[in-house]
This record gives sequence, structure tokens and C-alpha cells, in this order.
Amino acid sequence: MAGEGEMSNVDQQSMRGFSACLALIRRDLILTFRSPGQAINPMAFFLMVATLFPLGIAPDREVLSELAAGVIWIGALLAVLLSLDSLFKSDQDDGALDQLLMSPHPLPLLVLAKVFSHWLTSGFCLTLMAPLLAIMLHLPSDAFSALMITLLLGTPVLSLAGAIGSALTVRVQRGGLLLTLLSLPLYIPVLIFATGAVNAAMQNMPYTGHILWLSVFLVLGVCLAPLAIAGALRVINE
Amino acid sequence: MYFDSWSGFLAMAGHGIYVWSAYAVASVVIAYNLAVPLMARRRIFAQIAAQVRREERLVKRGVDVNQVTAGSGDDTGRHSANSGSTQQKHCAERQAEQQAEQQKENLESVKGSAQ
Amino acid sequence: MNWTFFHKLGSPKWFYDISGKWLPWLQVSSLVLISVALVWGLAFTPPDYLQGNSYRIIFIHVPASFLAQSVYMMMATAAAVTLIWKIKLADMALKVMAPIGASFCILSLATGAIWGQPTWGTWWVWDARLTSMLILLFLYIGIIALRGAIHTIEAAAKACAILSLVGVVNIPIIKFSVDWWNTLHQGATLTLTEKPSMAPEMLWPLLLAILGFYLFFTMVMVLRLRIEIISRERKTRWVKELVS
Repeated sequence: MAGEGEMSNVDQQSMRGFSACLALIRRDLILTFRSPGQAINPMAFFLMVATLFPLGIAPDREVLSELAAGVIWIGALLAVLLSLDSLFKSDQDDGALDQLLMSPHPLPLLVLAKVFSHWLTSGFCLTLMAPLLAIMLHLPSDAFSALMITLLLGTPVLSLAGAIGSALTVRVQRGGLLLTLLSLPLYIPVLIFATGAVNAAMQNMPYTGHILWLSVFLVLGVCLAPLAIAGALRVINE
Repeated sequence: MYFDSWSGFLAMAGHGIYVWSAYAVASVVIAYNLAVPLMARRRIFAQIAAQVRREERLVKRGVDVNQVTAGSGDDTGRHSANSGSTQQKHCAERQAEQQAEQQKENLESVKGSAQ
Repeated sequence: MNWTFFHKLGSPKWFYDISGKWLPWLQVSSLVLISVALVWGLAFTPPDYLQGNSYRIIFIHVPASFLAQSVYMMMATAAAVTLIWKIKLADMALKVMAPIGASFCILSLATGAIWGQPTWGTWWVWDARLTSMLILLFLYIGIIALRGAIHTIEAAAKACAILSLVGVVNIPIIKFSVDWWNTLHQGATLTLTEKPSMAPEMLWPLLLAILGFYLFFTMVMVLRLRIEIISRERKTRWVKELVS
């Protein structure tokens, strides 16, 4: 009987943690809807970066289709980085971060919820926009599905890894450049496998292996990154 | 000795420029690693010596050093790292000391004029 | 188990005193080993049958690469100690090791590039090892930059510790993906340092050079650590007495 009581207690606690996460995601999404610039600016940036490449290199169909995978992925990577700067900083400014730190629910879980809502407003939107860029850059249509799958699997990893840097630089004035320095090395594996998959798809080669590796990175990121982010937030705000 | 002449050693059968420039870079890195600590050591020692001299001066004038330099540490090496040295903190302390000195002087001059 | 040794290690004053005794030995041994190894490697070993005399760069390239990689591992160890036991000395070590490791990383890259010119006919090849080393340099730069950006010592210590641990988890992933990427793109066929077997007359000076570079690193680290101790403990009586 006592055991059952404990079980339900644990269940209740995890339920409460879960509903706290949902509330957090809802709050972040509402905030983004009120000031949609936060979500739109990275998308505009993404589009502009993709425009610069034909202007800077050559508008030839062959050249562009060769470069397309790399250009789209590097553009997405930089756009996510730009949006990460404000991930914890705006919460720090309005005091919401202190509330988060004092909450009775496990901090890694809450942080994971925050990163998820960030991904919804950045990485996910960029993924939805990617077909447009793929058409502009003449990416062969065989590679469209590979591009979308890699973006869906890869951009959450970018959000997770970048959130570590974002948490570490939350107290730093004008920490945007520093955030870039800290995060870009962590993005390299994702970039390699994602563009590898798209290029393989362009040559009609199997790319399941790449996709599986990206999924491994995503699982690793979901398991480990929240711990590092929570640790960083605690340390910086001590 | 593998090479039969000094010039042969320097030329390295055409590869001299690469080998010697690599060794030059290595000596630059080694020199950098030696120079930085030696220079930093001199600077830190001068700073602390100046600090000690200032405190001695203050003691001579009868100012309680412990009041001016707040939180002077113990020597067990176990106090918190906060009382260490960010540059700004050091400067602030120096200012506080100078102010205290100034006040002391002002007080003395006021006393003198009153008499 | 007797833990007093561990606690003593945490005391900066104790380390300052004991390291003063190590320093002369480190200085003499690293100087002797490096000069013997380099003179041996430069003048007394036969040239490589494939690469000629340019292979003599190996005697600095390999030790520098080894150091650059293992210094990062040491930093991660120091980071773990900083976070778990909150030992001040470990954080000081973490701080002073970063610029030394970065300098050897640059040395490894520079000598690799110089070696690449006679071997591959180009200064830079996107070879897996060179690329991984370049990314390692980025990791070093990140830690140094983060340390410079946070002004409170305590927060900077823990932030850098977390970043080093994140980096050390990522190093194998980065290395694996760069290797994979390199095999895909069929880069250089002749790798710089990978040889089926090195002749013993080349191996001995190389081992001596590696040992000498490690001793040199230890010496520089101790030098910097002592200055860091003096700088952070400047309020204490023993430092004041030491200086005056």
C-alpha cells in the first residue's frame, strides 16, 4: 500500500513537471507571437544569406546546385546562432530566469522545454522555408526530401548545442560574437553529416547512414545538453 | 653526423627553407611561452610591492590598514576566491586608500589652522 | 585513505612552496632533452627515403600535436576537479593551461603547413588531422575568450570548466565526423606522420623530443601557475612577505 502511495506521488510530481514544461512552452510561444520579429528576423537572414551566394560566386545552374546543400545548411546554422543570443538573455532581463532557477521542477527538464520552444520558432520555421531556398539555388529535386529530413533532425541539435553557449554568455555584455565562437565548433559534426546526406541524395546514393548518425547526435543532445545548460545557468547566476 | 659540411646542413638538400622555418616557428612559440610568465611575474611583483609600501606608509601615519583594505585574507590559502584580484577591484581599493590618506591630511591641516 | 595529501594540493601556498623546488629540475631537464633531441634529429639522423630532409620537421610537429591534444584532456580533468571538489588550484591550472595549449596547437598547424609544401606541393590540405587540429584550436579560442569575457573569478572558473567538459565530450564526435568527411572526399593519400614503421634511429630522437616538450609544458605551466597564485592571493600575509 505504501509503495503504491509513493508511486502515485512520483507520478504526480512528474505530471506537475510536465505541465510546467507545457506552460513554459506556451509562454514562450505567446511571447514570440506578440513580437514576431524574433522568429521572422532569422528567416529573413536565412533568405538574404542564400541570395548572397549567387551574387558572390556565379548564377550558373551547375555551380549553384553543387553548392546548394552547403549554402542552405550554413545559412540555417548562422540563422539559428543569431536567434540563440536572446534565448536566455530576454528572460534574464525580465527576471523570468530567476523564477526558472527557483522552480521546484528539475531545471534540465525546464531548459529542454525552453530549447524546444526556441526550435519551434527558429529551426522549424527555417526548415519550412528551406524548399524555397532549394528552388532558388537549383537544388536537384531528388535531394529535397534529404534536405528536409536533415534539417528536421539537425536544427534541434543546433538549438541544443547553441543553448549551452547561450547559457554561458547570458551575463556577458554583447555576448553575441562570443556565443558564435563557443558554438560553431560544436556545429561541425552536424554540418558534415547533413550536407553529406544531401550530396549523397543528389548522386542517387543511399543516405540512411547519415540520417542515423544525425539521429544519434539528436539523442545525445537531448540527453546531455540540458544537463550542461542547467549547470551553466546555475553557475552563472550564483 | 649525417651532413658532410656546414652549408650542406643549412641547405638540407633543398629542403632547408622548410625545415629551418618550421624550427624558427617552434623557437618563437617556445620564446613566447617563456617570455609571458617572466614578464607577468615582474609586473605582479611590482604591483604587490607597491601595495605593501602603500600600506606601510599608511601604518606609519596611524591609519588602521585593516579598515582601509577591507577583508585582508588569512594565510591558510582557504579563503574564497572572491577576495582575489580582479583588476577593477584592485583599482577601487587603491582609490579608497588614497581617499583615506587625503582625509587624514585634511584633518591634520584643519587641526593646524584651528590652533 | 589519507586525504590530507588531497587537501594540501588544494592549498595554493603549499603548491607555491613545493613547486619552487621542482622548477630548477624541470628547467634543466626540458632544456637538455629538447636540445639533445633536436640536434640529434636535425644533424645525426639519415634522411627519409620518401620525403628527404623535410621529414626532420617531425621532431617538432609530432610533439606539438601530442601536447595540443593532451593539454585539452588535462584541462577537462582540471575542469571536473574544479566542479566536483571546488579546488581553487584546479581552476588556476585550467586557466593557465589554455594559452599554452593554444600556442602548441598553432605550432602544430604551422609546422604541418610548412611540411605540406614540400610533401604535397601546397601549404594547406584539408586533411583529417589538420582539420581536426584547426577545430581544436577553435575550442581553445572559445575557452580563452569566455575567460576574458566574464569578470568575476568564481563565475569565470565554473563557466570555463563547463565549457571544457562540453568540448571534451565533443572532441571524439568531431574527430570521427572529420575523419568520415575526409574519407568521403578522398583527400591526400600521403599522410604526414603515419608511417608503417619508423626506423629506430629516427624514433629515438622523436621520443626524446616528445618527452622534452612535455617537460617544457610542465615547466611553463608551473611558472604560470605560480604567478596566478601570487596574483590571486595578493591580499594574504605570505604573499606580502614573499614580495617585500
